[in-house]
Amino acid sequence: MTADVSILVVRVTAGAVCAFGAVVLAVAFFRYLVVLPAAAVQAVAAELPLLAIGFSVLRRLRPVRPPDLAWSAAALIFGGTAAAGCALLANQGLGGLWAKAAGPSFASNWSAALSAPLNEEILKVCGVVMVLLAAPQVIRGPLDGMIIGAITGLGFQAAENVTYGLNAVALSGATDPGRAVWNSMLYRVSTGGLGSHWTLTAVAGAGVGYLVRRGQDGVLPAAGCLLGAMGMHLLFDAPYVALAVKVAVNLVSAGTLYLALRRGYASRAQKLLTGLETAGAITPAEAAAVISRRRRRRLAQRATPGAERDLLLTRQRELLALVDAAAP
Amino acid sequence: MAALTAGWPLASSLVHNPRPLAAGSRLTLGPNRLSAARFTVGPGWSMLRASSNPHQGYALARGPVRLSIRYVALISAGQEPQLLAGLHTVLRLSNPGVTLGQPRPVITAQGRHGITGVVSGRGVTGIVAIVPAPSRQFAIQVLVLGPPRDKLASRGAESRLVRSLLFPAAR
Repeated sequence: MTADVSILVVRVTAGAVCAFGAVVLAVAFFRYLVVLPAAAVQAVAAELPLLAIGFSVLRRLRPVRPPDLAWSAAALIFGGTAAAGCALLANQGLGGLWAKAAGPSFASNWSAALSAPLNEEILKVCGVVMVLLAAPQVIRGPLDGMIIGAITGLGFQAAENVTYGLNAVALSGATDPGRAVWNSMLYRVSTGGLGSHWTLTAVAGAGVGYLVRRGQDGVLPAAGCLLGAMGMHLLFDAPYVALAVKVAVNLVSAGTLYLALRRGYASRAQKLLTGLETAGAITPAEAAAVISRRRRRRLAQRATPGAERDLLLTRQRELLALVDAAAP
Repeated sequence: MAALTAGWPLASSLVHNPRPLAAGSRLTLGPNRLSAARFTVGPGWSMLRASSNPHQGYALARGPVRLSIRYVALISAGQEPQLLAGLHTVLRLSNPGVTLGQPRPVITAQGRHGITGVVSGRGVTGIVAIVPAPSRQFAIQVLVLGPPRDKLASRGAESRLVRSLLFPAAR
């Protein structure tokens, strides 16, 4: 099978898995749309600002330039459909096993903590792997994996928020569906949102990036990242731990990894640019501007519109490609 | 992905779900001691463990009859008047085609007042009841559904269970 055919097969498979997940979610929550259409629309609409802001911010966290827009959107959709839909079935199955094997009392406290980390972290990181296999140029290192992972996690988080919001209607006896959805959304976004799925899949996704960059030598860091994400998830779902502690641990873990990866990226990029500058391949002004979005934009604005600006933009794109190839 | 999505439900389906409960078993429902209710189970019931959670609700079965008892967390005190309308909605969500008949009052052995009503749909009949806790912060919702031939048994089971409802924090 040629590389092009393999990529096509992966893309079609990813599309099919997303469609399957979307159908699972639609079947599970279709009754809400029929019986309480306003609450169902509200539950979905309430997530749109979170998605828009989160998507934009997470993409901008990648230094030098954001990941490809289409594949970022694909990761978001995979998280919100394929991963969320499959997780619904997988968690029900494993949760049922816990209740049958250890009893409903044990399961009510521990089922989420023992089921979700295993199922959800694997299902979500499959989104990063899908992007890698479908568009290898998008993930070239751990930082790329981390950003695509965070976006996948964000999609999952939004879908989960919708399902929790709708479940809150039944759990509150449908006495005030609109308020039940709103309260659930506010609670999930304001309290746990900062340390939830986007941080977990960011860490797991970085592992995929290590595999890409280091090959077999990346197996250990990749496993470490996935296990780390599962551990963070277990803590997040565990009873008897304050929510603030859970959020802080996840945010600090993902943040520390991000800063370390970003520093490594910047250092490699700077080394490359210094080498190019020393060799006379680029000017000092270009070397200073290329890794800063703002400086690149400023240079482009100063250039005369037309041929000069086009030439500058082409040059910037070439240099960015060089930096990305050398520094992932 | 396929292994997790199909594997766990398949593995779960291979493990026997119902666990017989002794007649007179007392079960507690609620997230904590202050927001909890206790009820007594009659003879012949089994707990469907995969659908039971002491914090949120239990699913019980006796032959073809299914009993679900759920903890309803009210968004604010003073929502008792909305409980009946909410009950209609919850029934439409969970049991499409099942409708609630004329509601009437019900009282527990502890003296708590609630509402109950006959429910019926295609091939099923039963009874539903909802009893608010004294704190007015939560309520307990009971739904018994079975084939029409088990109508009397369903009503008897629901009636015994609702009468046995006890809110320990109110004692």
